[in-house]
Amino acid sequence: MAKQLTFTFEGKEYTLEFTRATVRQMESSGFIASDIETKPMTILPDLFRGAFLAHHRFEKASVIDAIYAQMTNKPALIEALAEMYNEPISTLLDEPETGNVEWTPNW
Amino acid sequence: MDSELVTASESDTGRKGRKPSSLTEYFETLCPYYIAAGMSYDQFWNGDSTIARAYRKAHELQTENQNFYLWLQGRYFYDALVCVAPIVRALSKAKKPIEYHDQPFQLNTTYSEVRQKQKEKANDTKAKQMMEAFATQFNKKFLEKKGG
Repeated sequence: MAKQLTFTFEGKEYTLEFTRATVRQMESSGFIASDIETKPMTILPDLFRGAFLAHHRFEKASVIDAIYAQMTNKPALIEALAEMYNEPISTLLDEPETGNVEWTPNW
Repeated sequence: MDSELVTASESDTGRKGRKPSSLTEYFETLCPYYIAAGMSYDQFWNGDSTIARAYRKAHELQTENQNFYLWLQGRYFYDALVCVAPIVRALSKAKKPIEYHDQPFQLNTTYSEVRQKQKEKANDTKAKQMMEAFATQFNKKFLEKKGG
């Protein structure tokens, strides 16, 4: 099951998810995920908007922006969105189940 | 003869090779591989992205099974040749072929078990060679010490 983010806004249920098609669409409209380090404030709303493409393609930009403005715990939201965005590619890159060396990042 | 399992190459499955410039390029490169593995175009692009894992694993198992059955076919063919060999040899006095198996082989082994046994055998040989090399070196040193 793909990672999804669900919430209700003004009585409507929303499911945010990224598919390969929506990632492709975002990239074709100029979204570059690696810019998150240099331009986080520009990238994050775009990432949030992109997450609507899979299930709420025709949602108005003004509504999405209003939802974004009211979202609580933004740092966790960013983390969740980044993880979701990464999933369409990470599922293609899984290594074979033969390794036994565990590793931990230091950040 | 060492037999390598026929599988999709690393570059086909996207684990190695030239680094793509974007995720889109990566997806477009890998899309045909997943379609060949049985995934539909719509599933790949619009479906649950985690399904790809199952398709890849299933494709690997399928390829492994296919390889096993091809190997098995070779075994049957080899046995059949052995059975008829006595009557096709020009100088043979045998008038009858050896009777072929009256039943198929009992498949109580899987391909991975065969591979495991091959690996164990290879490891045993390697260990034996290392031991022999060590013994030779030890004996040489011992003789040198004794001589000098």
